[in-house]
Amino acid sequence: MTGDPDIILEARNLSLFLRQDGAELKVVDDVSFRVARGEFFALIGESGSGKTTIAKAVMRLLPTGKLRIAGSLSVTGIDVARAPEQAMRKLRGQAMSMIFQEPMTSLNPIMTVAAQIDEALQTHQSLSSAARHARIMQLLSDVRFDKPEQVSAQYPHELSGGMRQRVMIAIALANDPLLLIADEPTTALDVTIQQEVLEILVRLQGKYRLSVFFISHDLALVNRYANRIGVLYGGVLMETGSTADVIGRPAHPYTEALLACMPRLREGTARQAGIEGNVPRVDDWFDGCRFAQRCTHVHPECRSTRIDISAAGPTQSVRCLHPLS
Amino acid sequence: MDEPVALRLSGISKTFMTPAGFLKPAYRTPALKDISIDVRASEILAIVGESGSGKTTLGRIAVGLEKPDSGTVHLGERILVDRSRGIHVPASKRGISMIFQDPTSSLNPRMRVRDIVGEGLRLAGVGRREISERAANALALVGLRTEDLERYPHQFSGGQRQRIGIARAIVMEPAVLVADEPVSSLDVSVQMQVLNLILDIRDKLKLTVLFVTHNIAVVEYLCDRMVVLSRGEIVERGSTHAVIQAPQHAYTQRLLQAVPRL
Repeated sequence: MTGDPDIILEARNLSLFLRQDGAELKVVDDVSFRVARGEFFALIGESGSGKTTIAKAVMRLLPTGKLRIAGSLSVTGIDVARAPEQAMRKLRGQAMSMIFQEPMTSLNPIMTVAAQIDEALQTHQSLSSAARHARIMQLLSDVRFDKPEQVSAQYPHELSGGMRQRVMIAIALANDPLLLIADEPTTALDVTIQQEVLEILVRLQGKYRLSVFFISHDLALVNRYANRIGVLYGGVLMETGSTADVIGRPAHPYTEALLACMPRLREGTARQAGIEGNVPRVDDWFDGCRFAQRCTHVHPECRSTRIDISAAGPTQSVRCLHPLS
Repeated sequence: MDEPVALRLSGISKTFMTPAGFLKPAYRTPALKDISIDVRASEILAIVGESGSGKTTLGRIAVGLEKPDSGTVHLGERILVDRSRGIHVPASKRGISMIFQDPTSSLNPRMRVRDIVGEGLRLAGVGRREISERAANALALVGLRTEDLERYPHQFSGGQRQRIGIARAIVMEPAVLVADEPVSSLDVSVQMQVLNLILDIRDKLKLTVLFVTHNIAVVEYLCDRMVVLSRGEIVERGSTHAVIQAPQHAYTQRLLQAVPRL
């Protein structure tokens, strides 16, 4: 148990192993980060980086027979790797809740919006029906529905994608969680709707001192909304720090390369360089830096030395033998 | 600057019928309303819009996968579509190729790359030896090796699969390439490789590209001019620099302001 009540989510030397048919596959290796009360922390990564597996591990959505958690992972001081299922059920939906990329698949198509929020309330609280109704209206206006009464009587198929995601946020916040896990919640939405949804989320984060653990592949997006960022690559945390530091002064060559290949307005015939090669496969673990094969600053020892994460500035930590200065 | 018009879409309208449902009568949804666009030779023109804007339908009409209700499509001087005269040249005879969003689902997993890339030529009656030669050339143009002809799609990464999709498109020596969100399913670190490849083949083959996308950042990097679609209508058009730096229409302004930037 951690002593600091302000740390809502903490991973220490977290490794995750997917189990299938008696075999184990390591998907995340030695990841450490902390999310404080009221903080918006974004974990960014490309495919195969392990970001979604980490989010699922926090909720323990996969049974221990499928996902083995090594190291420590705690939510409000409770060890997610070892907590009995009953304690997990209390944590989920109460201390923490989660929203997903595709709201339609998470909503029940044959229940009204009100009934779905009500279900979340009844599972974790014992309120009178008048109190529950008031709470449902409050939640729907929190996610910026002008006519909460009208929306509450509607079914998911009557709503647009953005409205569905706002309903998901209302359900997720029903029991005043401390932590909201958001796994690419706006990837399926148009950019104007994405902005609407995220601005609602950020406003609620401030209003309720909510901690947001945000999973994304989009650096530009998290740059706009996150307080701190962790950069994952091939199952390993390459760099963490304040958003301003990581984006403004990246310490890891991977972060720098990723920033350099975000497309920008092109002047004349100038080209931006991409990163040669591909992300490492999840079943291909080796000593040395995960990014070494594609790194333009690579030294011979990068390919063979096990590298620990170390401080690189007041807010930054980096896993690199030759960090950028 | 004043290249001839390679592809001209004039007065294109398209309405989709939504079939009747439970207690709900059938109704018409207008997808495109009187759209006219000139794409100049060897330019990359972006059709930008959000979902429901009609951008994909417009691309499919240009390729011949969809028939407009009214309007004409010209490739240079050649008439491809003229609804008033009942003309509709089939997709296979247009000289326009297409690349798709998802390279995995658009490549047949049971076919070798040789057959995927060569299929269009085979259907056009080209001989086997010439097919092999042209498929190998197309593969070289997209940065793959001749040995890759014998492999299957699952043996490639996402970025390489999109290269195969591009090889399949250019092997037909099209005058125009229609690309519908070709980099949207790729990782950021791979996306730039494919964007640069599209620029390279445009330069080498003097190809005209109609690039359908919702991704403004990609348009900024890749496209010479852009057309902004909203609910089936063109709200703004111009050089990418002009539109990005000084958008005139309220919708474009709202769209650009919503795009997160670094």
